[in-house]
Amino acid sequence: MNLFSKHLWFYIFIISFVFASFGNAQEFRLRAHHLFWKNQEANTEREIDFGRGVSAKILGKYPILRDEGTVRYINQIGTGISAQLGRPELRYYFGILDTDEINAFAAPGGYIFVTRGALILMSNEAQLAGVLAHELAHVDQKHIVRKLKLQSTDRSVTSGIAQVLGGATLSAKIALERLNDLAFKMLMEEGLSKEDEADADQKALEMLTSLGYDPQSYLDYLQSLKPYLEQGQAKVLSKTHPTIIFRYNNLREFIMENDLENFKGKKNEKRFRNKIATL
Amino acid sequence: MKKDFGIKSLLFSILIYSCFATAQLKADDTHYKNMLVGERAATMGGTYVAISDDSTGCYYNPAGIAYAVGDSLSGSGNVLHKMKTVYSETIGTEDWVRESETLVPNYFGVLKKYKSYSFCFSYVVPEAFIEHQDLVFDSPLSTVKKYYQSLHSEDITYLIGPSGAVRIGDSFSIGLTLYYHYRSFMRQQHYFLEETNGSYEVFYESKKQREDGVMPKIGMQWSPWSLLTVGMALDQTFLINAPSQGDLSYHNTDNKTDTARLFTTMNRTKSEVKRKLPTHLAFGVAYFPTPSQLYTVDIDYYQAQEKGRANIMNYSGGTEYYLNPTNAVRFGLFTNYTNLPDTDSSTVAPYEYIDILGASLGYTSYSSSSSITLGAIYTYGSGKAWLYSGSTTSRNMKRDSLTLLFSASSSL
Repeated sequence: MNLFSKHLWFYIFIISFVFASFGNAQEFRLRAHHLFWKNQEANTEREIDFGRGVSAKILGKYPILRDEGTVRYINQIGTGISAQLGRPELRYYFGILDTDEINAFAAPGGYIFVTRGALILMSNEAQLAGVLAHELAHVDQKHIVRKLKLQSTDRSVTSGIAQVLGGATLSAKIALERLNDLAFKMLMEEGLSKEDEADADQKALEMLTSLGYDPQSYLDYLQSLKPYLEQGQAKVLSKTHPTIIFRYNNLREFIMENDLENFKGKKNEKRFRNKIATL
Repeated sequence: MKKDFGIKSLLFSILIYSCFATAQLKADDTHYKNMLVGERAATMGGTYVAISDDSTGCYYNPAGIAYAVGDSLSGSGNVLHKMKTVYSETIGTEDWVRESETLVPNYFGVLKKYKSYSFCFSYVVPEAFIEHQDLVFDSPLSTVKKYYQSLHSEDITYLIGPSGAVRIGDSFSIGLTLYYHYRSFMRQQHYFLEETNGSYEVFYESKKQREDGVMPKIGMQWSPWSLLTVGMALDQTFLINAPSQGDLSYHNTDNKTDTARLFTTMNRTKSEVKRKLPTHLAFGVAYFPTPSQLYTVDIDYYQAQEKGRANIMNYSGGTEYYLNPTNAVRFGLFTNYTNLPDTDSSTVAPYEYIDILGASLGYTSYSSSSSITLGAIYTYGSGKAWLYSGSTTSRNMKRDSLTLLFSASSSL
C-alpha cells in the first residue's frame, strides 16, 4: 500500500490514459425514468409544433380579432383555468376568431380559439369559462392526437407522436403537413368522437366547479345554441359535435351523479358584459 | 433458576459492568457498514461503487458523479434506525438487552454539472448511535435489595465536503472527494446499588470525546464493454486530533460490620490518543442489461492500520427493476463482518465477535423532476461477547437492526 500511495498520482495518470483510450460510451446508464421523461419532453415539443401548424390553418380560414381589451380578458380567464387545471408543461394561447359563426376550437399543444359569434351569444363569464375549459380538456386529453392514432407500437400516445413527427427529413415534413390537414379536417368537418366530446364536457364542468363557477351556466349556453344550430349559424359546430340534447342530458346526469344540483357558483355577468361590449 | 452469586461477585460484576460499558457503549466501531447512505444505494445494500451517478456518488465513488444525468439536489433521512443487542445470561441468569434508536437526516447532497465536469457538495452521517437505558432490578440476589442503572450515550460521525469528477473520453472518469470528518461522542452513566443490610453504592461517570480529521476519497469508473461498468474507490480517514475527557465518581458505605465504613473517590482523565482508521479499497461491477434492470456487486476491502484490528472484506450485491417508467423497486444483500481478529481461548474481555448480514428493499416513484424513495434495511448477526473485564468467559450474543428510510431528490 505504501508503494502505491507514493506513486498514486502517477498510477492515476497511467490508468486514466489507458482506460480512456478504449472502452464504451455509457449511454446505457440512462434508466427507464430518464428515457421516459426525455421522451415526454420530446413529445411535448412535437405536439406544440403540430398544434402550431393546425392553428395556422384555422387562422387561414378565420381572421384573428385584434381587439386588445377583449383578447386580454379571454386570456385572463383561460390562463386562470389552465394554470390550475391544465398540463403544466404547456403554455396555453387563447384567441378570438373574427367570425359570426358560433364555435370554439382547440389545436394540440395548447392553442385555443373562440369565435366572436360565440362570445356574443354568451351571457356571463361562467359560460365563457365553460367553453374554454371544454377546449382545454381536448388539449389535455390529447383527443386529436389520439384520434389520428399517433401511437407507437407500445400504445403510448406520447412516444408515438415523436416517432411520427420527430424527423427533420422531407418525408417527415410531408407527414406533418398531411397530419395538419387531417387535424384541420377533423376540426371543421368530421369532429371528434361522441365519447371525446362528452368527456370534454364533463371535464369542463369539473373545472368550472373547481374554480367556483356556476356549472348550470354552461348547460344554459348549450341550450342557447339550439336555435342557431337549426338556423345554420353554427354549421361547423353542428357537423363536428354531438347533438345538444345528447350533450345536455349527459351533463345533467353528471350533475346528478355528483350532487351538483344545488351548487351555486359565480357568474360574473356584469364584468363579462363590460369586457365584451366592444364586440 | 437464578445462579447463586455471592455478593462479592455481584459487586464485582457491577463494577466491571461499568468497565465494559465504558469500552462498549459507543457506536459500533468493530464494523464498517453500520448505516447505508443514499437513495438508490441504500436500498441496493450499499452496492454503488460501479454506479454512483448521482450526488450519493460523492460518498461511494466520486468518479460516478461524472455520469449524473443533470443537476440535482437530494437528501435522505432514516425515519427510524433501531438496533437491539441481546447478551445471554449476563446479569445473573438474565439477558442484558441494549437498544438504540436514532432518527437522523443522514445524507444531503447538491450536484452541479458543467460540460464534462461535475461538482458536488455533500453531507453524510455514516455512523449514528444514540442509546438510553434505565434498568431497575428488584432483589436480583438475596443480599441485594435494589440495583438501578441509567445511561445515555451518543456517538455520531459526520462527513462534509466537496467532490469533483471529470469524464476523460466517453468511457472513463475519475473523481475526488475531500471530506471533513467530525465525530462527537458523549456518555453519562449512573448506577445505584442497595444491599439488604443497608450498604449502598453510587457510581457516576461522564465521558466526552471529539475527533477532527480529513477523509480523501479518490475513485474511477470505466466501461470496458457495452452495458457494463466497473468502479474503484480508495479512501482513508486521517485524524488530526481526538481529545477526550472522562470524569468518574464513586461513593459507598459498608454496613456489614458493626462500624460503618465510607469510601468516596472522584477522578478525571484526559487523553489525546487518536484512532488509526483503515485504508478502504472498494471495487464494484454493474451490469445494465436494459433501462429497466441493473445488477451490481461490490467488494470492500479494509486494511487495518492499528493493532487489534484485522483486515476484512465485505461483499454486497443489489438489483434494480422498473415496474414501469415511473416506479422502480430495488433489493440488496450485504455483509458487515467484524474487524476484530479471530477469537481463541486467550481472548479476554472486553471483546465482541459478531458477523452481520443485511438485506435491503426499496421503492422509488419518479416524476419528471423529482423522486421519492421509501426503503427498509434489516440486519442480523450472532456471535460471542466477552463482557467482564479481564475474564475469558464468553456469552452468546445476537444483534438485529431495522432501518426505515425516506429519501427525496429533485433536479435543479
